[in-house]
Amino acid sequence: MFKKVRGSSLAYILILPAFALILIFTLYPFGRALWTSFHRINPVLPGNPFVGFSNYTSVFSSYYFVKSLRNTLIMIGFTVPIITIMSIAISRLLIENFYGRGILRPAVLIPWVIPSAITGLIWQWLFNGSYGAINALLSRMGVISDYIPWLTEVLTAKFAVMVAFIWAQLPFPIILMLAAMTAIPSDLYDAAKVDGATAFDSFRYITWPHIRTMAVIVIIYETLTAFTSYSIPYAMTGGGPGTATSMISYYIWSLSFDQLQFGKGAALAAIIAGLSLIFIFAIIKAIPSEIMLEEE
Amino acid sequence: MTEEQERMISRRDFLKRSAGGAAALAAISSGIPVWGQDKTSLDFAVWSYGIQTVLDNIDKFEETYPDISVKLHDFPWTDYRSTMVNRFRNQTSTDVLYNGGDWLPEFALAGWVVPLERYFPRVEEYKDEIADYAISEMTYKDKLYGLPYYADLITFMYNEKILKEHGINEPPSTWEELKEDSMKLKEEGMKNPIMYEVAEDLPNFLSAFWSMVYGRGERPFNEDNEPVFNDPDHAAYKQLEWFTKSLNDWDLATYLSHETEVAPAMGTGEHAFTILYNYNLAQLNNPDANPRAGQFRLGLMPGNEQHCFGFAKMYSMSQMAAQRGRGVRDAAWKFIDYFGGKVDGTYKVSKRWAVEKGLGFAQLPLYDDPDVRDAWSSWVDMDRYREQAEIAWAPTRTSWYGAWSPFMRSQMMQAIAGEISVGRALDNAAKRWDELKEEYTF
Amino acid sequence: MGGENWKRVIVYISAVLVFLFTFGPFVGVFLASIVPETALITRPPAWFSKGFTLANYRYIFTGDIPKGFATKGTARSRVSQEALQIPRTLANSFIIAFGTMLVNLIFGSMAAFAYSRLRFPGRGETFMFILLSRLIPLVALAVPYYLIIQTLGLLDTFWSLIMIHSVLTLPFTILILTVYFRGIPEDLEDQALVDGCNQFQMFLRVIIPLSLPSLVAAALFSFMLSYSEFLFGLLISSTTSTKPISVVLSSLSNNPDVSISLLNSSIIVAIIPSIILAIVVWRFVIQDLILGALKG
Repeated sequence: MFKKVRGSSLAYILILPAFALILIFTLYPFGRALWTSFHRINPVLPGNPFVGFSNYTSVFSSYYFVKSLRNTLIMIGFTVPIITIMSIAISRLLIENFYGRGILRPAVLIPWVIPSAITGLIWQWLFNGSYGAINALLSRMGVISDYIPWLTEVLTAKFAVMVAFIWAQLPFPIILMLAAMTAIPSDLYDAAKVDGATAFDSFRYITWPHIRTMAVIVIIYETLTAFTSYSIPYAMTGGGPGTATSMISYYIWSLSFDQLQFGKGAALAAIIAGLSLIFIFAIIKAIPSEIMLEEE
Repeated sequence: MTEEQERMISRRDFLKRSAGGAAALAAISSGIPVWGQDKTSLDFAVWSYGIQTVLDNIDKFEETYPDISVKLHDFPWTDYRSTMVNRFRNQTSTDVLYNGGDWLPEFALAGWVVPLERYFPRVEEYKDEIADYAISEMTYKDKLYGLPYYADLITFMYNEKILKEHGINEPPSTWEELKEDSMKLKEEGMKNPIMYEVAEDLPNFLSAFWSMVYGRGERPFNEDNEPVFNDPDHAAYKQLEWFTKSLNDWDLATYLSHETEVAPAMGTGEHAFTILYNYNLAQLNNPDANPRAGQFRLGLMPGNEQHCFGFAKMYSMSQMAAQRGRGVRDAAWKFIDYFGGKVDGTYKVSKRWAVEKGLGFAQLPLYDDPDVRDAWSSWVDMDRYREQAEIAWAPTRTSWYGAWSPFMRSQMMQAIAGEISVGRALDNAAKRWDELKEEYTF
Repeated sequence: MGGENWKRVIVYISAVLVFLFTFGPFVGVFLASIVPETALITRPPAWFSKGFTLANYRYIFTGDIPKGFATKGTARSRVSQEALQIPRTLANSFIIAFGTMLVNLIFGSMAAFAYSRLRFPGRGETFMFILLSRLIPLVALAVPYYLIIQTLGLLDTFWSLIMIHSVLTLPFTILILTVYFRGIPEDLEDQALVDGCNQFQMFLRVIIPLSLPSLVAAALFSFMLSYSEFLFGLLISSTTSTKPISVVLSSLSNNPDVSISLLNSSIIVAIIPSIILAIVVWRFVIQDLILGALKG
């Protein structure tokens, strides 16, 4: 692929600003986070003794670990595929010529700018069991006679939280998919049409190969995001009912900044990072793409 | 130098070491203040509430003391403690600050805030005029660490009109009566007569629970700060059972995750009882925020003893300010005295919060202040508030309470959802308390 | 022709559904911002029974307290005053997000060009390093990040947030752009080189125009992420002069004296700049440059 071996110094100059910035904010913070995870770090207490792996074992054996990890995985399992498929479908739609697309196109981007705690707040109001907009609308339309307590029943609460998450996450994948789709030469489709290919065929043999790498990026990005964000569920349900919508990443915050056990918080963060890494490699292995730089 | 001071200083050294060179550098670059030409500047940290009022108060303070300038730093309430822990831990300049009774022990243990009376013996003069529960909230190891920003109660509120319409003329005074009244309302068509505020990530939920337990007349910890709440005969045990049953078995109650959601929910008329920080009653009875304004009343907390949870938020001075020298300490005292104490003979700033925002107060003379009485009469029966305040209990506060509270809340969440039993939840929480107590006692 | 008609029906139905899902909540938020609170929470629902008001918007921009809230006795009263910080913090957020976007576009495309076109020792390793720098959940990095910023003397400045937001977004920007740049046929570049362009000119004249869709995606991504970021805004900005709007919205939503209508008005005001940005980007960049080019 690389026909010419070009001067390395140009390359170093080009990557330097980005690389240096990331380096400053990676080496020391990662090192410190790792160091923290092997010590008892409580800013209120004197000393910071080395505690070996005990932060890790205590996190693994904690009451919240299995439950909130399961909740988080369920969340990922449902939302990431839905987001990916919806973003492909919607960006396909946005390429079409139709009346009103001038409104729809910017409209799909708007959820992006809302900070996630506020997204949670908007959706908590929409789903609110006492005065929520969805209940008001449904009861106005005569669909329900009594308000539904969306956020205090296990299944509906999980559902509501996922809907809000999907809503908030969709814009970025749409933009990515759109970028990928616009790069597909349109004569490929014309040729396929001439050959009598069905819509499904042209998606499978033309569109998909061209957007596959972006799809992998979307899946990785959304998995990471779902793993590390908790603002939406907590603004909507406070983690409830019970622990039905409690998220594993909330406990990094809670352990560190509420319970002042920064060591355990860092250990949990490291565990989540490890799990994320496994996920990323699994995704890259499962779906062939050009995400990695090939080595010649 | 006292032992405590020595310990604090060695702690400071430890903090610098533990944070590595960065913290030490930071302490040099920003921890040590820059003096203006002739002005003393104070960094004042608050949670964001009534910011315009705060700024206006600061302006008036600066007019009174032209040689002091105050820089305001404000943070969202929910993240205030975390933000302050981060700032103190990294020695970011902070001289005077809002502090809460729930955080005082840990902030004091860490050496981040200092007792006012060590530097300003005059602060003693205020003690006689401040309610006991508030004094207790502002005291750590027998030393007073602040003057009140506001002090309030977690109270029981009910919709008087709804109760009357259903032939209930007196608010329930015990939990059994509350259950009976709610059953009656439910039979007559109200789905969930009781509305709670419940969320794992907010301390409010646990404080409200303690208020209910105090209504039954028992404290969750004994005098040696040992947990007794997990005994099946204890009020806390009974109350948590009552609480979970009201949600699950009797289906009398429901909940929302924040007080700003509970208040509008009460306005729908689908609920008759709630337990909240008392200032919410001002919002409930605000005709522009609530279609049922005017119908809500304060009731004494149900239970045989009818005590409730009383708390105080205060102005504290930081260790950093104390070390900046006498000039800064004097400026900080003038500031705290102006904001939490008397100006020209009255508690001017506290009174303003009470009148304009409905925040409760701990300075007893304000009960008789005509302006306060007049402003409060539009939303609360002030005599009943006073009656409740006089039997309010200050909660147990220890340096590990802040670290324990999230654990307790998560156990309660699990019990409420029926994932574990009430007994198991409370046993777990008691065990955790003992562990933390050992860790924090050294 | 039957097929075409069916296609149009499907296009319109999905357009309406997508619009309802992504924009519906904002219609709700907007209505709730102009309907008096007392009408909003009545049951059975009667949102429009008490008319409309713009008083909350007026309060945000002028400080005129909505009529009824000025309860007796005093000038200020039970209205959440933090809303008055909105105009200023909106500008702050815009500056920070715009700065982050510029850093991403310039440094990101430079690095991506190097990774997609040049070979140099350490290429794979540095690329991997950049990608994996986002693995550890942010909460665990908050304290070390804070220390770096404090050591640099940049607490409570725009620079610090632009820097951190860039660190958070650059890895994905570089990944997206690298993948996209690599899809551009190299013969176009060779042609340019033959025509006497140097590599830099070739980059500007060939790669940049052809990769516009991905640059738009990266720009929007970095802008929006920065605009909605909360954690570092919270920790690093402590005064109104640098505070981002996400932090103010969070304060507002937690204040017991906030009304649903004031909160919703604030949300609407907070998203207006981004709506404008989204429309501009769609209208002038995507529609004209990208989709226009696609048809040609």
